[in-house]
Amino acid sequence: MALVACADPVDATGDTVFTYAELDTEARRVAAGLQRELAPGSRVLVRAEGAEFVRGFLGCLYAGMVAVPLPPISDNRRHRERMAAVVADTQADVVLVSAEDRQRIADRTRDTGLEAARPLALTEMELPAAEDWKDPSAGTSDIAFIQYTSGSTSRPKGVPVSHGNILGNAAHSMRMTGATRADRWGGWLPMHHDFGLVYQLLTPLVMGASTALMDASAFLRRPYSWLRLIHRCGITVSGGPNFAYDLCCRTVTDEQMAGVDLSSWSSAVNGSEPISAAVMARFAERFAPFGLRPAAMTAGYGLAEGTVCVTLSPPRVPPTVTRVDAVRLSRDEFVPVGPDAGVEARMLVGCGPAHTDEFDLRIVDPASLRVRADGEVGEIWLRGPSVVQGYWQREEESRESFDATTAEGEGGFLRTGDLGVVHEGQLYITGRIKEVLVVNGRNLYPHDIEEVARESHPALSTGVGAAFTAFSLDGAEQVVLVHEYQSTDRGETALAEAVSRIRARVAAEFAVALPGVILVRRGQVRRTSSGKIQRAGTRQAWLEGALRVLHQDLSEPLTRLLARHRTASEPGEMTRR
Amino acid sequence: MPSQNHLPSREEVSAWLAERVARHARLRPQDVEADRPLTDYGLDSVSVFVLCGEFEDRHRVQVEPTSVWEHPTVRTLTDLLMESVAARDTLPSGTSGGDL
Repeated sequence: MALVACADPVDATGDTVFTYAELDTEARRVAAGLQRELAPGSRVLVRAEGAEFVRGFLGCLYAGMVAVPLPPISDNRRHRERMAAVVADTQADVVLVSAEDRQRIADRTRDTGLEAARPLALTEMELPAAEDWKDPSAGTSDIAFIQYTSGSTSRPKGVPVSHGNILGNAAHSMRMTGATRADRWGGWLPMHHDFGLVYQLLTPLVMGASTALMDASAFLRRPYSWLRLIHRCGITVSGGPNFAYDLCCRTVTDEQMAGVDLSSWSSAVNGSEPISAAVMARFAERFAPFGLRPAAMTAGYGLAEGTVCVTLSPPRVPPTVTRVDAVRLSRDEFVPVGPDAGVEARMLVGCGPAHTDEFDLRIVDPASLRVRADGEVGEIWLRGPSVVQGYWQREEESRESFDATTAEGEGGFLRTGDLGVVHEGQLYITGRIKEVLVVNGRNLYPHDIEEVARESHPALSTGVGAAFTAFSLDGAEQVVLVHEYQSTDRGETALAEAVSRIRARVAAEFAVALPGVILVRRGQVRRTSSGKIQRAGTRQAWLEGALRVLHQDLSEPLTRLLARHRTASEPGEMTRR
Repeated sequence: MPSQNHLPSREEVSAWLAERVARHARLRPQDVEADRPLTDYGLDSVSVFVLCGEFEDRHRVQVEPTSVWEHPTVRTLTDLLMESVAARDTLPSGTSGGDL
């Protein structure tokens, strides 16, 4: 068995099962159909779920064409704009769709750019026989698919992943997970995201294991259905971003877990957004009565630019948790402290070995480009066979990000934009210098949020804002917006009303909460002499109490973080190692 | 757990919604204001999906999470949920989300 596509995660009657032979035949037929219509190397958009997605995607690969997985078509204006930008960036003229999606696409493609692409419905195409397929003799450096998770709404950046990247990273993931062909993978992660596509689907297929797929929206509506899928299919490897584990802890009831046994689960990977040690511990404890082993908890670090998986904490043991000084960490210093040190601590989760056969890793000072020693925080730089060639048709950005050279003269590195440290051989992620915000596993760009905030209220329209994230003391990423407010009405009611309007607009556009909104006087948002917004500088000024605040509305974790910073910023606290 | 075919009153739906929002925001249900935007209580896309799933399981109707953002207060969302429950019996059976 290769694949189970589960229409209903809690009910086997909706399952569609494919053996490797069946998948191979299906992929040959779809590929032969594509080869009739398109030249090798053509980009083909794929908009389908479950079995239909897999048939279409593998068909593209068999045809020697470049698959571009698309997210579901949304009513949200921003999502549609982004899809249009992706479609334009790929210059694809065909979209492969499932039969169900076909009508939806016909009805709802307005503004998505998809109206320019010809829809080919897999079930309606008269597919040729598998024998008509011609091997395109794709090489390892040929592009298999383009992943769009980077870049702002208007300017998405495609990550082209080659056949060689997939093969190398799949083998790497298997080694790191300690999985074999007998393992069963599976889960709800969406296929337009590298964690879903590469880790949950392609890695087990490349390695000859099996995988069971359910829809992401089924998980989000009924988080328990993920756990029931694991039980029902005997899944051993399944992962998700930190929010998924948190969501299960908060919503799943004992009644929903009745009869569920999670003892098959040997690798529960937490990756793709900052990992909270508290959430991992809570999850392990909450579901231990249902057979979950603490050693199944696994912490990972990865990114689309590195295919997916960079490193994972070792199998069969719980991840290492290191207690560090929280305030020093916010100044990019990694200082392990004992439980009795009397300082506010943050628990950082070790993501596994920093140095592996697949990735040549350096921790580099982002300003001087000097390589830093173990124990020092810096930007994570990577090179190796899993690192992709560069962004799709963006030469300049590719050179900057994918061909960096250290001050010592070592070249060819990917600058990840993530900050980390190597401590006792393990990689810890400590922060980020790239300006992306990660919310529920989704990437958001500060510029997009600032633009919507500015339009949400007249008192904001002439000022500027800075959106950034702050890590609460339990390691959760919280989106904060500092915005200038200009109005003669500075009464509490007016200010609170403005905050409410900002939140409502940002939620309507991006479906995210803004746990921190700070309204400031004009000129308080930090900018460079050329007027560029300094988000990190604004965050630092806010944390240190250097902003002239008119009004702020903070979640409880942010209130605690701020209080801790203010006390720690008192003179005499700065002791250097 | 109410029966799936039970037709809930407006008060029941509104009270249930306030209770779910209060739990999310760690408030008392009586402190949730009917006309205040749900975003003031920190609801985000994930919590809205869960809310829809819970309502679907209780009342055998399908609610699109995206439509919640067009009805972003307890009062307006109650209207939306009441409409979907009222429309429920005109749907062919088997189109709604499954119960456990």
